[in-house]
Amino acid sequence: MKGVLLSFAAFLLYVVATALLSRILLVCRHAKLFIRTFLAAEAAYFLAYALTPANLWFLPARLLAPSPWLEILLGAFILALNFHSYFDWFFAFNGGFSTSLLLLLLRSRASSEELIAKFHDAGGRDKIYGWRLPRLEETGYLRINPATRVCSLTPKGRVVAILTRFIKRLLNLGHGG
Amino acid sequence: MTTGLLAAVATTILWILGHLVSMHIRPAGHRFIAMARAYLVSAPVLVALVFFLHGDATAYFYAALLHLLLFFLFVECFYHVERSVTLRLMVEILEAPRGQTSIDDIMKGYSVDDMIRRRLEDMSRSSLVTRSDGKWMLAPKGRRLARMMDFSCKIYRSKPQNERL
Repeated sequence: MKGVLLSFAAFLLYVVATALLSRILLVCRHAKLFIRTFLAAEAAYFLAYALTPANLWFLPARLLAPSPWLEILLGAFILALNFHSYFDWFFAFNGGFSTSLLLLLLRSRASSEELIAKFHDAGGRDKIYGWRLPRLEETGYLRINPATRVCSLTPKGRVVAILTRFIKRLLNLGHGG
Repeated sequence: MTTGLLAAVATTILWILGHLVSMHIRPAGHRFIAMARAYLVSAPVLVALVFFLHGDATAYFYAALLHLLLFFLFVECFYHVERSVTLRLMVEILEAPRGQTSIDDIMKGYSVDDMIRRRLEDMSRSSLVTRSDGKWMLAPKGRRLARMMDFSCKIYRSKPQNERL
């Protein structure tokens, strides 16, 4: 039980730390901050596990792990699962496409055309592909020929696309997006 | 503890396999409800497995916890793949003739305009938004959700997609 309790404690600290750091630092890419802080949280969890007594000062004998190694790994795994849920929640809730639409409608009611206009900049470039394609190129998933504007996948991008297509078929999904 | 973990992993594999098979035989209209139903149906299987493996009270706790967290993981991974615009884009390039396509063709195939209209219809079906006189507005459920999102964006100082460029 010690591993589970420490894992949840590390996760709570992690959530508070990411919220505070997002406010203190000028964060351009939250993903980087979240991943780095997660690695620190995992390290803090292992350290806390090593430095605290087996009963955490209060646990009864029946809740002590018969196999500490399994418990320490389980705690680390639970922390990773909670991190994944939090990371996923953050990007769906704070940067998701539907979120953006709901926030626009929170300010004022709007027609479809007015909402569409909000997703284009002054030059007519849309804000979905506008940042996504250059980001994919920058992170090595895509090559864009500047003269012809033709896109092709890098080997790394190809692996991701093939894996995605396989999962979509396995889940019986359409194009999605 | 080991009993609980084994029971959780086995039950999770079972419900995911059952869910995948059923989605190929008869795809559900609402995927989340289908996943939640498969998860709930598997709960008695989890309890029975721990019982037959002679697990103690802590085994039930570990089994239930891991079973729940693995359910969240599956649902999240499902939506990563299903909703991701980036992944859709990459698959479209992969499937294009000679693995190449122009940005203009990508936009024609899946324009932002269509994406917005589709999401608005989806949100309307989920009772988050309503339409009146050609204008979209938030339904009470959507307003509550939007306020929470607004608060969260302020906490993390994050920008919605329409403000990123």
